[in-house]
This record gives sequence, structure tokens and C-alpha cells, in this order.
Amino acid sequence: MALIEARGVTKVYETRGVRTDALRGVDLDVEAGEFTVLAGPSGSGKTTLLNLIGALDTPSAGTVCLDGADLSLPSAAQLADLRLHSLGFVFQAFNLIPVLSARENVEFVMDLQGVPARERRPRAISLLEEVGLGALADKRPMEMSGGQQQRVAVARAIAGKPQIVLADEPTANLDSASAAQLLDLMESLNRDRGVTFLFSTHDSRIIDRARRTVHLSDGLVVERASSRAA
Amino acid sequence: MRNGFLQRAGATLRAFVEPSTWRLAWRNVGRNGRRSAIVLCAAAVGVCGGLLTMAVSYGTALAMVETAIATELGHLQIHAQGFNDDPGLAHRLPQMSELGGDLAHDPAILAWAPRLRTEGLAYSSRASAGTRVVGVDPERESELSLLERSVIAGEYFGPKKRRAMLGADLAARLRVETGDKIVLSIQDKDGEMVSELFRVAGIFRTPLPELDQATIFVRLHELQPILGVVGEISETAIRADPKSDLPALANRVRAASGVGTEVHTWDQLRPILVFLVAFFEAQAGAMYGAVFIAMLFGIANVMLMAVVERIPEFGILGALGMPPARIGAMIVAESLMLSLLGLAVGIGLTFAVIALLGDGIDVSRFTMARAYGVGFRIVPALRFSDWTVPSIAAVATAIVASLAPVLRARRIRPAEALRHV
Repeated sequence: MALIEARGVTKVYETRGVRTDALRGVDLDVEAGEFTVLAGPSGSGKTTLLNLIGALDTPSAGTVCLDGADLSLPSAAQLADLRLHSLGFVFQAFNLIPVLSARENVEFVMDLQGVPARERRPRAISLLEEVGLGALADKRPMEMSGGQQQRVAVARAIAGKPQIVLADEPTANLDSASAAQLLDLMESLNRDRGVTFLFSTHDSRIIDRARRTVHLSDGLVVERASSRAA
Repeated sequence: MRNGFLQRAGATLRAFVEPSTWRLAWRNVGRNGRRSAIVLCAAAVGVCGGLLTMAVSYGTALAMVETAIATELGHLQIHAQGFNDDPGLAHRLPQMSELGGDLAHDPAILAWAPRLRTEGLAYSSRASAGTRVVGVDPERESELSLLERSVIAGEYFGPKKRRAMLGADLAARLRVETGDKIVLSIQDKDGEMVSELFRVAGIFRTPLPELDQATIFVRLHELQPILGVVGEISETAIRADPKSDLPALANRVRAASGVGTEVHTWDQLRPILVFLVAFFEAQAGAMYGAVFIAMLFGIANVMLMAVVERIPEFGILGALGMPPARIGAMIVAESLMLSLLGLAVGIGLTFAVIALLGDGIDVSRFTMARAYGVGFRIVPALRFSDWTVPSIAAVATAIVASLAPVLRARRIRPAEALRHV
């Protein structure tokens, strides 16, 4: 059984009477340990699909299962709990909590999980050292560069030991050097720690490194390709 | 549905005790320092204004009661039965050298004084005026009331016989000064008119205008034979220890005074005072209520703005797995911090202002203050409830003010919120 199983997923938005079919019956499997990219132009439905897999939204039809569990759970609180324990997120705009330091941002998810302070603090420091930011642990997001913020976001995403990390255009706001550093980091986490990554991007720098690329266009999967050997 | 509400409320309460909820809330309060400072100042000024209003109102009420008790009423009065319905010479008590029973040694009684009351006309060589004539024991009266301390001209009775003390306004109406002669024309106990000559020993000004306008004090033992009531009085006034249990003391005095007498406390003798005290308190309470309603809308507005501004952030918190209940608890905590900080600063300001006012506000120039019998100074005073009520109100205000923002935040769906980023 795949870690992620999406079957016949459709998503329809209606805004002021205008209907938009963002996804039109998508099937997708993601296995544990994958480094997979959802690629496609803007409006192809890749972020929508990522949101549905991330339990941030619910499909209009079809099912999305995470490790066999249907994500159509009844309450917002239960969905939040599932995101907390099973999913990690890296966003395009970094989205660190501005009033918390780098360490506190990484600790935040563990705090929500109920990890005691004496455990989560050294773990946060260790994760920041792993992403090369041990010296910036006490800096707030606005005191760091975009690349540094995104690396903190990666540390935060894996701090809760999720089953999969979903990264939505993680390099879109980074320069080439920072993007390369970030991708090196993500690749090493995937390779060394077995962290599963699913990207949504049209950035060729990520697509080139992906082991599998799923192309979407107009809400449909149009091509599946394994671009690199595992 | 009810279970769902209870579950959400329980989850919010659990989230509320998480230290990280408060840490995040505290940082959020500090992130927009200017806006938080404005709300804090508004709350502080509101609380201070409200508390000072309460303090002045309570101080005014206290001053009215204190003035009435200290100048004329005493805390308790003993009369012959029926005196309050017909306060004339028909209802008299035997004069005692000491209070009866165990009252002579009752620690709750600080002073007592006998009085004989009647009404008549006072004549000077230049004018005449209707007047209340009160016979007093100067020494005992001095221990009981403000009369001796209120002398502004002449002396307190002095050593010579047939001396009278006149209120300042009455002296002005009669156009007399100390040493001048006046004639008192009064009815004795049988209704016969008698006229007696007195000299003005002293002129007094008390905080009670009606006393100054129409009262003449003479020695009790000189008035009794004029009225034909030797050994008899109209009332015994008692000043009690303010910390004592007045109703209990009244009961002891009643028991000791025996049949044919009635004992009244100051509030029974002057129910208007009770009404005025309640009126002042209600007035201050209404103003305080208005302050808190204004504070409620101010904080609610700020919190709502803070929520709308932070929609993407709430989306991120939700995406990271922060439960909606905890997001709600964080908003309530932010609102509580603003209110409680405002309350603390407001209370501090109030302390400072009251300390600056020192021995009170001089109201001697205000006719209204005299008319209400407030006296010459109002000392702002606060009771325990004056501190606790606003504290509870501040918490309630914060919670109510955060309800709309919390509901707004709970409706935010992470996917929609992230589109605002």
C-alpha cells in the first residue's frame, strides 16, 4: 500500500457563480521515501492537489488516503491533529512565525505535539545544526535571509517526524545559490534519513533532481516520469 | 450540537493553560507595539477615570454621612416615644447623669450628649429671624459634635451666664456680632410665650448650611427652666466607634433605655442620606459601566483588526497542526493581556492620583457641596469591591471582546488563508 493514495480526485471552486475545475479526476500514488515532483504550469492544479494531500482542503469528489487513512475526516480539529503528527510543510513564502526565533519555530510543532521542553529544545538545536543554522538559533525570521528562513522551515517541517513533507514551490523566492543549498539539504534528508518529499513546482532545478515527476495540466495528470534513478 | 460546543469549550480551556499559548500571545501583543500601547492607554485611562469617579462619589457619600453624624445626628439618638412624629416639647426624656445599664462602660460608645430642642424667634436690635433653639451640655457636646471646632468668631460659650452660640448665616441675618444682645422668644411646655435675653458668645460655621442658617445653641441648664422642663431633655445623641456593629449597639441602647423610648440610627433619622449615597453610587456605577462598554468595543475592534491582518498566519498555524481551539485560546489570551495590563496601569494611575490629592479636594467654594452637606473637603476613597469589580469586569470585557475575533479565526480554512500569503 502506497503512503499516499489519491483516487479520482476532483476539486471544483465556485466563486461568484464562476465554476473552476481545478482537478478533474486525478489518481496518484506516492510511496514512502520518494522524492517526487508535481510539475506543471500555473493553474494546472498542482498546489490544489498538494493542499488536498496535506489535509488543508477537502476534495469535491474522490478520495485521498494517507497511510491507508481517508483524509475526509469529520472535524477541523481532527484534520489539524493529522497534519500535526503525519505531515510537514514547506511553503513558498517560508511562513515562519515572525514572533518566534528560529529555535522556537522548530520547537513549535514539537510543542503542539506535547514533546516536553527538555527534549524538544536540544532536538531543535540539533535540527538547526543539521540544516547549517545552529549559530542563528536565536535569530528571528526577519533577521535572516530568504534561504536561511527556508532552511529553518525545512527543519520545522521534519521536527515533528512526519510521514511526508509537502513542499509548495520551495525555491520560488530564492536565488540560485540558496535554492541549490536547499535542494542539497532536502536530498540529503531524503537519502540519509528517509524523509519522503512531495514537491509542487515548475522550477526545473527541482524537477531535474526529482526521482519521479508527475506532470499536471488543466487539472489532469498528463505524464508520469522517473527522471533519475534512486 | 451541544456536545460539540462542550468539546470545543473544553479544548479551548485546555489550550488556555498551555504556557506556549501565553508566550505566543505575549509576543503577538508586542509585535504591534503602537497599537497595543494605544489600546492599553485607552483601557488604563478608562479604568482610572472610572475608579476616580467611584472614589470621589464614595468619598462624597462618606463626607455627607460623616458631616451629618459629626455635626448634629450622632450615630444614634434616644428619644421619647413619638418624638420623631411630633418633635416638640410634648415628648421629653428624663435627663441622666450617665447612660443607663451597661452602656456607661460600653466600648462602642465614644461620646454622648443630652439636648433639649425647641423653636422660636430671635430678635436683635436690627432684625429678627425664626430659629431652632437647642440646649446643650457644652462639655459633652464638645466631645460629641463639631460645634466647638466650628467656632469662627468669639468663644465656645465662655465662662459667663446666658451666652448663646449662633450659626454664621443666622448672625448675618440678625446683623449681630459677638458680645451683642439677642432676645429669644419661645413657648414653654404649657404654650406660654417667654422671652429671654442672651449675649452672643460665639459664631460658628459648620459644613451643614441648615445648622448655620437657623440654629442657636444655649446651655441646657439655662434653657430647661425657661421652658419649664427642669431635669428633662428632648434627646440623647450618641457617637459610636465607627468600627462597631451599629445595629447591635442600637439594640443594646434600646434594651437599656427602657419603655417609652425609641432609639434610631443615623440612617433611620435621615433616610435621604441613604438615598443620596445610593444615588451617588449608582451614578458612578453607570459611568463605570459606560467606560467598560467603550473599552469592550475598543478592544474588540483592535482584536478583530489583528485577526483580519493575520489571516495568512492563522492559516499557517492551522497547516502546522495548531488546533482551532488553541488558536482561539491564543486570541483570548492576547485580549486578556491587553485588558489586564490596562487595568494594572489604570489602578496604578488611580493610586498615584489619589496620593497626589493627599487630604482631599477642597470643595468649600462650591455652593452645591454645602447644599448637599458634603462639608469642606472630599477625600476620594475606594472600597475593596471598587477594586474587585473592575478586575472582574476587565476579564469579562476581554473575553467578550475576543469572541467575534475568535469566531472569525475559527472559520478560517488553512488552504484559503494560505492563498492570502
